Amino acid sequence: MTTEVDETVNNDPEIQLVTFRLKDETYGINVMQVQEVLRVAEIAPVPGAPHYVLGIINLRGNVVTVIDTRVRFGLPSAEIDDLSRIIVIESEAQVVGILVDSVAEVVDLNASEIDSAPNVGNEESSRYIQGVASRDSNLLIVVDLNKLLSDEEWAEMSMF
Amino acid sequence: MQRQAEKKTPRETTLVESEEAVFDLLESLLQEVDEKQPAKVETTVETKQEQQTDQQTQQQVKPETETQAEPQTGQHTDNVKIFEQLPLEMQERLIAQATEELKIKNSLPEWVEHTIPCLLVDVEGVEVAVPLILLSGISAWDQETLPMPTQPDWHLGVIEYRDENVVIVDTARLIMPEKITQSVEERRENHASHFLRVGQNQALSCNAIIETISLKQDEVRWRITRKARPWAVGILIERLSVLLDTEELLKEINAK
Repeated sequence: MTTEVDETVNNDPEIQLVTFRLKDETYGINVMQVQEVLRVAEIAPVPGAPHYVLGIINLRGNVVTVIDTRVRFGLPSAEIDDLSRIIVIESEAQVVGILVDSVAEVVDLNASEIDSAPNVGNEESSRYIQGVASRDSNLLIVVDLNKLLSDEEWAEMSMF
Repeated sequence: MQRQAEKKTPRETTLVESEEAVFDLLESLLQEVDEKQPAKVETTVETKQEQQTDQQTQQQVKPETETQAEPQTGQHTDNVKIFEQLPLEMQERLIAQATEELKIKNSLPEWVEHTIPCLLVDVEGVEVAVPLILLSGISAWDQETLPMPTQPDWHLGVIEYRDENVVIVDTARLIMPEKITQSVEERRENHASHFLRVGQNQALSCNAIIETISLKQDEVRWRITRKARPWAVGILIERLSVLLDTEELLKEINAK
């Protein structure tokens, strides 16, 4: 009996997601990949960078590339306002910042609560969507950060 | 002011070079420790000097090179012993760090020295650092510009500068074409305020001269691989400006 319960717990791990807003949708990313959340300060443009790269910031002596998540997801750009935040994430051994409209809360989910949903989002964003979950009657789109960029694009992130 | 620097070809890091780099790093770290404990170091040095004096008085005169080589070999052996006693994780970290530093060192253009005097300029709102060693002149752009037919859109025209015909290059069009929506004629009519003389007969346009600074190598985040944008050598960490290799930019122009 105890063994069966243990097996159930192990097969349905709990995941914590940091949630953020883009346009009208709420997205979640694995909290283990989030280093910190910053208010938007000066982002220096980088000549010749891809269109989804907003620029670079100096984070305690380190140069961090900032991605415009809206552009990356195929959404129209938006003005930066007081609610905008840069989430500093680590993926594929690279540290980058992603600009979002706002950051919400940390949500606890079980893996079983995440359903695969091939029709969520547009064509651009669907590549990065790991699945969807329902929380307080709202849809939460779970993003696979590792697929946000290709291997080559990830490698370029440190070269700006 | 300008010199024709030979481009340094990046080469693969060998295992021997990696090991040497690790030991150089260890040596520098040990020197830091020694500097913080001056009394101990002096005692050690004196002891070594006393030993060397004793050896010299007991033996025949040795060639100077041999005498100088002995301490270095001994130090290297000590470094090996120290390194081998470190935890494996630390050994791996040191090797990775030293390898990275070696890769950076091998990728640097030849004009990079310990300090790099640079001119900071504004190019369409973007701050760019240009090494002074690559410049042969800086001037306000108030000369008449002669447009040349059938030229690419970065070619803004020819001016007379110091009795020479100089081609003015639209720097912004080259390094951030996505931001330039004006036509060549519009760019020429409302042209930038200054130009920087580079190469044999070319000059890079810029909107303003900001200031001169002296950079140290560790104040730049160097780009190890530069397949894309080879003219962007690195980023100034404090100011987040791009450090421009004008030689690479000219190669790009001349190849077009």
